[in-house]
Amino acid sequence: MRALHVTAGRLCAWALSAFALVACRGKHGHDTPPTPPPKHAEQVQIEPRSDMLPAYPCSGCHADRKPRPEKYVLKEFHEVRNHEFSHGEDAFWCYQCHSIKNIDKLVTSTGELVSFDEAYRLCTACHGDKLKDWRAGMHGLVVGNWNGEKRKKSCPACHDPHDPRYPSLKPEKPPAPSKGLKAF
Amino acid sequence: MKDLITYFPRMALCALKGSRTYYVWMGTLLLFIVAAGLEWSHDLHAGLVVTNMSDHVSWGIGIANFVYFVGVAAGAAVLVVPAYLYHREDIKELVLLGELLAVVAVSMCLLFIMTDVGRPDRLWHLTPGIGFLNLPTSLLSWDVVVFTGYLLMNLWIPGYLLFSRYRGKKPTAMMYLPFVFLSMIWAVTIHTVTAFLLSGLGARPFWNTPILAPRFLISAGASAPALLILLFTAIKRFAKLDVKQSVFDYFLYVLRIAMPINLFLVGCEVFGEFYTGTLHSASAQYLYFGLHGHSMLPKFIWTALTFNVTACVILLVPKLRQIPRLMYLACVLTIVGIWTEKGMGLVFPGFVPNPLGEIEEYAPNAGEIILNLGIVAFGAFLYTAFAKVTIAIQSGQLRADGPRPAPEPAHEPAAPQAAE
Amino acid sequence: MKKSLPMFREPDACSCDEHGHDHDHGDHDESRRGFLKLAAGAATALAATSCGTKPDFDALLQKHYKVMTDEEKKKVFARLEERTRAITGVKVHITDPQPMDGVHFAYALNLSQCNGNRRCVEACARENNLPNDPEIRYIRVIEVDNGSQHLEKGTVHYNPEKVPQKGKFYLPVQCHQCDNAPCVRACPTKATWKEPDGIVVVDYNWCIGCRYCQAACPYHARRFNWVAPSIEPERINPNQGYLSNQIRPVGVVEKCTFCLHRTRNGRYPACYEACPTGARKFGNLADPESEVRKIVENKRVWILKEELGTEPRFFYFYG
Repeated sequence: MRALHVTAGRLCAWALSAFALVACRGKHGHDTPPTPPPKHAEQVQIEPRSDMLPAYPCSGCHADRKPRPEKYVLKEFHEVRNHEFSHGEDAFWCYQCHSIKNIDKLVTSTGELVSFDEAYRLCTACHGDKLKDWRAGMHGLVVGNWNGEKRKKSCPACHDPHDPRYPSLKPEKPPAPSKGLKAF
Repeated sequence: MKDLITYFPRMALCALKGSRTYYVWMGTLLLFIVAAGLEWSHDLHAGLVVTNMSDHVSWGIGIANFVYFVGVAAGAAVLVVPAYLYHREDIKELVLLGELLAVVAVSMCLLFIMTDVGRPDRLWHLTPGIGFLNLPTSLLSWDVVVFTGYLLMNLWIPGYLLFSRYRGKKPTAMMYLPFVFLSMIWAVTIHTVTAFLLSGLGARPFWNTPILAPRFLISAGASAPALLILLFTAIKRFAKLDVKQSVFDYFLYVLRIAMPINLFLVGCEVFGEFYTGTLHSASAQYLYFGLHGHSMLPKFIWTALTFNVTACVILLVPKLRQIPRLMYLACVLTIVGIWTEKGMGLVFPGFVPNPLGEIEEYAPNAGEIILNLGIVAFGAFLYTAFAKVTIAIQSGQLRADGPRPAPEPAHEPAAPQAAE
Repeated sequence: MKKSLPMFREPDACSCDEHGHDHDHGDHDESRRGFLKLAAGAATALAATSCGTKPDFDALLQKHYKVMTDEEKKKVFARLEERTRAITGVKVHITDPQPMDGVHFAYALNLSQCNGNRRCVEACARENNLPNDPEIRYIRVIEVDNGSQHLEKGTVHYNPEKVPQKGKFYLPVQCHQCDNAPCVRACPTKATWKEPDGIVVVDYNWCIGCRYCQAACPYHARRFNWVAPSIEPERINPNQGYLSNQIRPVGVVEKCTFCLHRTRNGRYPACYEACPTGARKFGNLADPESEVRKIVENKRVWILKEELGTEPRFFYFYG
């Protein structure tokens, strides 16, 4: 039954396009099978983040400060993190991710130092499923052109690593209300 | 050739002359037509925003009337079939008036469409050759084709027959009979295509039912005889045309069959919608009982159903239908009931809720009502004029000059008695 | 006095009720409006097409897009550009980008990520020259209770301080560019058709405004110009496509075109660029490396009202 329906639909569509072709003297006669599409996917770049970080490099302040690996109440610059730090519940603290040796770098679980531009390598050490999706462009923001130069946003562009839930937003205005008919 | 030259002016002249009642009637209709004309010009200037239609309910009373009057046009077959297929002489005398009713109804339908589209200045895009008709896929294109065909056929048949009569010559069967038989099938076609227009839309489950075309035909078979009874009573009274009782009996007979079947089909539809109770019956829910607090239509559909049932009872009980007043009441109830049931009761709820589940109700505003009344008035105006000329020609009052034998000794200058 | 906006009244040579052949709207408004009313009341039906001194026969007799030669198209575009300039003072550029071989556009929308912020709705309006009054929007975002897809119980009018709201999900709907498009089948004049790259377009200058396509569309994707659109001159997007975001005449149907004036030049649609959450995915379905293709192949995608057999190029998924 379904097949019949689809066949009928196809027939109609075929008849339509046949008609359109007859009627159309323009340049749209498209009867050849699609040629391979333009290839641009490999040009995808990952957008660097260091330049966007307001206080980077961290060593600007931290160079002459002694690192404190234990948990304590943050003051001055980072005090907001005291109650906004939700990532991994209570499992994490600063130097799980920030390198205690080089404050301008991040550190993976294997001890490898990673630049802020490659933060995704750190994130995906745990979130491997997202890595696959993100690599394929199925997850995350891709900007630029669908056909041409495009850039991928790294994880922290949307997810604050300290509080990774996507922030809630004020919505744009709702559609105009209905006419509110009062005819009868 | 000379006759053809005198034919049209004389017909026009005949339509212009009449009694006082005639002038009052035509004048009143003209007032409605002018009001509608002004309303339409307002529409054209301001855009259709002046109507109550919206992107949610994108078709309103214009299309509802269109659907109803397609039924009236198709209903002419109620006269044509017995006249030519069963050779009923009493009806054959009147068949031209039935065909002209088809012409008028189709013209009205075209006007309903013309005033409803956003760009009437672009209607020429529908002309094959300079425009495109989206055949074979668009049901609306098919509608254009069948409407044009039906209009031309119904203009040709009475036009040719009347012209023959005007010249006092016997019409050649080959010149009109093929079209007569074609128009019988065509009458079914126009209404079927109009039903398919709605029932072919998967987006609107309320219309997407195979029962729609039979419902349309049967309801046309009910409302057309009811209308014809009232029309012929008026013609009999005002134009002093002898309409035999057997004709009225025949109409009543058709009504007695069509009305119960129509109600039965409505019942089938209601069963299908409510017994299964899927989400697709939301429109039916809205129509009969209201939906999520929106309940504009139920009062209309229940009134319509009450009218139809009452009419049905009157028509089926011999004692009741023999009382003329009750019989006329049944006709009026049938017309109003079916108009409501298949006009607003069918077109409006199809759009409520919209395909994304939003509910925006629709009812025509004053402007739309004026416009639509004006088109109905135009139809009445046209039909009165047509009927008057037709009766004058058929009775021999209006005929070509010359020595040809006239059927009756009436003389040309004598003002036609037809008063309507 | 409320400043009235320039109206794109059609046919445009109808100069008697044209706003802004001169640019100071203020002073003449009252008298113009008075005249408009007068004209509306007294004019005959014909007046709308010929009340000016010179009715615009070029507009009236314009041919279907598909049968126009390049030369004729150029003239038409110039006339439409001039119309906008005359009415609003804004210089716009109308182009006609063509579909590319081997490109089949498709959209995929991640419902786990959409939070109902409506950025797409407004970006679309700005990109496509959609009027605010009366409002036309191509995208409708429906807020639905978790645990159901019963759209009747959802709403498009939600307006909390913050989205997403707990217990709700958000379903944006726009034109699905169906492969088996009911609107294309319905159109009596072939004013709407499916392009080889999958975009369903409307020749706004050929549409007769019968609105049968609106009745046929199962996604409520088509909008009718109930009134001549009025857009603030500073909101007009001058980069216009003839088949996409040119300022529409009154009385015709319009719809989302996947921003073909952008996408056929390799760019992303406006709604895509506006989405901050990354819920929107767009690309070439024929390209095995494209994001949409990957999604269709790897995610559990679903389409709205699949039972209608419309074969949309708009996929929803969770991920």
